[in-house]
Amino acid sequence: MQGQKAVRGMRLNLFLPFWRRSKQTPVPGLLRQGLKRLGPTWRSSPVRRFVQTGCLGAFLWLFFYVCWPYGSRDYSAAMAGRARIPAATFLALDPLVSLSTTLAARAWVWSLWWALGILLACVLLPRGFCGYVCPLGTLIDLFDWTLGKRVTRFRVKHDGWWVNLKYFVLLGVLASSVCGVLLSGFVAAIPVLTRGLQFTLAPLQMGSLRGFYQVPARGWGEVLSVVLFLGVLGLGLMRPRFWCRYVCPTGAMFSAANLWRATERKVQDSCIHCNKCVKICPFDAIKGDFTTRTDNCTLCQTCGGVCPVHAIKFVDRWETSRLKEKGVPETHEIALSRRGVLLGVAAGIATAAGVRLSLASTGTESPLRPPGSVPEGDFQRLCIRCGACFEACPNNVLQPMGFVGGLDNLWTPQAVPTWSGCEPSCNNCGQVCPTGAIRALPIYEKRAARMGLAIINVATCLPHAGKEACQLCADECTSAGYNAIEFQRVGTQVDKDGEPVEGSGFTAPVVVAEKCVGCGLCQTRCQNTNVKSKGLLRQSAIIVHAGQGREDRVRHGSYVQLRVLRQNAKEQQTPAVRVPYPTDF
Amino acid sequence: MVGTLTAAGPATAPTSQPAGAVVTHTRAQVEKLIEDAGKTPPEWWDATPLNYPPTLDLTWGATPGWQPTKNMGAYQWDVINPNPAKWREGVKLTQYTLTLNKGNAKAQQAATRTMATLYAAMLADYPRGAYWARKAGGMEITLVDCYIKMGCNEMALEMLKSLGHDDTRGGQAIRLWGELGDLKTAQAWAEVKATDGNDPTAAYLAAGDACRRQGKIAEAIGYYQKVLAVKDPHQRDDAVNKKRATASLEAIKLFDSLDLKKIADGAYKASSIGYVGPVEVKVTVKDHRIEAVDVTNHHEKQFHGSLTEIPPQIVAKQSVKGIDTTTGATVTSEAIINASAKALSEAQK
Repeated sequence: MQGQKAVRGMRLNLFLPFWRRSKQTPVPGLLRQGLKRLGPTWRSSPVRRFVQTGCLGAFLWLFFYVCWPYGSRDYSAAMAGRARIPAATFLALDPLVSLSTTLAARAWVWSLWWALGILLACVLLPRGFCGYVCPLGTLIDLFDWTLGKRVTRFRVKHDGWWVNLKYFVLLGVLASSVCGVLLSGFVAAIPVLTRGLQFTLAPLQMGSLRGFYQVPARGWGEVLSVVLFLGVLGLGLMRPRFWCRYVCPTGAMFSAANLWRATERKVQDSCIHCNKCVKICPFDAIKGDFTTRTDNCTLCQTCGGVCPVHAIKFVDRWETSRLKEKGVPETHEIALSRRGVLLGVAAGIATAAGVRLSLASTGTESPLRPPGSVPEGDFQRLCIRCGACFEACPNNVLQPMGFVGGLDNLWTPQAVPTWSGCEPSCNNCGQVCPTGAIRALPIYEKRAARMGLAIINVATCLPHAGKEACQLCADECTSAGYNAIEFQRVGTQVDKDGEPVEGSGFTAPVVVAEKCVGCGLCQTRCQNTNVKSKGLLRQSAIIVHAGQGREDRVRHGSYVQLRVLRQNAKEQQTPAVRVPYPTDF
Repeated sequence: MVGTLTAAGPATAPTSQPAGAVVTHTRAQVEKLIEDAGKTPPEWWDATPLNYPPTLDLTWGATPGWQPTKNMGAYQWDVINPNPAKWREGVKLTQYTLTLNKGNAKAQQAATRTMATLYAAMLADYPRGAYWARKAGGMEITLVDCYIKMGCNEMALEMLKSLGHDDTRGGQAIRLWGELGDLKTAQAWAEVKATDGNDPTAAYLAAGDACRRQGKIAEAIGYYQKVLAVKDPHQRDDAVNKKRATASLEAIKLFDSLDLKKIADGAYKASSIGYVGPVEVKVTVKDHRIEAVDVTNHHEKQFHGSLTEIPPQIVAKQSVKGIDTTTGATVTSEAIINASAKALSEAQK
């Protein structure tokens, strides 16, 4: 009877209740039968599965379609046309990404708004991101369904110290962020997924759609990333969704946020201790007494649909009517160990220290960064090594750095002009970068943002060396619209009258530093033709160099303005001369 | 020093008439154009900066040797002429030296001649070119060219006739006769230059160019072969002229003299360097028609538009001349065109 103790407040049951044979329903309906064929979770929590499918689909669509830059010569307009939601949506939704980068860079990152948004949403649906949205989680579900179910020898039966590992990882990552070193990209959910797919599937996408000769050679850095990614999936052999339950630091952030939850899974006293819910829970969120481990529960509601007595309900957290007794049977909860916390923090700080020390030792030339990159120190602290820019870059100009640049540069993007040059009509990398390590620039700003400076080696450049006529770099620069390479005749011969011999010498390229943005198209051309095709040179005669004075790396402000300022400074040095027209003489 | 009419590259927008337009003027109109040109600055005058390296000797002094950082003439030749974007700067700089060297007649003369060449041969500003050429004196060839371009053949003919014979370094007068359509006089003057002038390579090269200009391909080939047949090369430009003759013969073979009627049925392959590597093309000829052009192998990475746009154009035009290259993929476009031209010319052998 619904009396004074009426159930008030929120009711958030999204599951499909267990079918109980009765006079009214002797046979399960078609819907149930169909869903059962798909799987137990489909049967019990179809809403969850539909949302998961949609989110994984959206993620794949964003990554492999929206970020795929080909199809039009105007890359910038094409991407703007495809991206109905930001390409970095999922990356921005990962709150660990925005929090760690904000801490490390000591600056507001635009995706922090998204983090706040998703955390607010998770007040209503605590840790709902993990249960419903996270595409890595869905991919892990797929892995567990295909492979994890069949391989049983790695299964762990009993819980260990590692059940709280995710909190230690989270604390370690945050500690290192506070120390100014960004490690979250290695372990946060969405970057791990994005990078893993970028290094495994994207080459296949490129190869099958445009030809495998377009795929740059793989390096050890990429191999390591793939191994880690497979490792994350492979953890599912120990327990389904092992990563999500025990390791993922993004999950740990949501778990911590569950302290502010408004809804909760509650068990009524009609529970018959059948253990079905415990067996099916993907997040290890049900204790031994069948009540809820509230920090782990994602309200996926898979348990709700399997309970044969309909004892599980999802209501507001202050509801207390007819609840099951706690502690019966006994639970053996593993508390958050102090040792673990300290070790986690210490590991984070130690790694940060190690990285910063290695930073000091590498004295090689700074890498060529994407156009619109923030200054190098900030870049290191904002780049989460997600790999989105590699996907969005046409012709694979941007490629991940391997171990050569040191651990601090691992998986960060660098431009590789020996492979391809930066397209003048493209500003994709800035559009997809979730943290602003590469600023999102309008196309006219990107065309003024210097990446580096092209420098001609006059000893090897064919016309400069008097070997043969060549103006590939100049033609390339002109057709790109930068017009930063001029000509100069070199080696002009003079006859006995002091007159130049017509056609003697060669017109040789000269870089106009004020106009060069370091796109590398010139280097690509010389490399492809003179080095690879004709074998005339061992190395391109025009090479783009990064470094102070050659690149524009600013956190704010206009690059067009910077160019104007540079020009004005130059004009200040030469006095203005008014040349009258016409002259009387 | 820079009196020869060799344009170093494509002319920038002409100020007097649009490219390709056939506009005629009367003598009076031409005189008016030249007079106005002398009085008014070109519209780009104020926007063009005065740029020159500080080491440059603005008095047109001649430090011995070829010194492009010191001597104006060498600077002009090496730095200004090869860059269309710098021609306006060159004019402004030369004008500046005119103001600086008021008392120096030698410098004034050198500067005036340079102004004429820059305007006429580089910037295609023919009224101003004529104005300055008249001021300099001794620049008849330049004037003839200006009169032709300004559309007054009458004045051009008059001036050209007044020369009597071609004693230019490159046979420019002969070429101008070809430009005016009088191949007979061109060829006559060429014979005189070859024998009396003792410069057969320049003479015959110019005659060949004149014939080619008027579409007389067979005669042009004859003259180019005469250039190559000259023994005892002793003139300073003989080697260069022979190279030019060879290049012209090659171009005629590839483009001008394509005759599908002389090509048997079959598929012909050739390749030409594209953006990344060689672009291979297969041209299929059937019943003396280009039936198909297929790109059989390539490594191009950039946008592939030209791969789909160029072959149909070649088939539609039944020619490799006058194909519109795909904007943004000109290198690949030209590779396809050149490879097709090569394939067809080898088939025609």
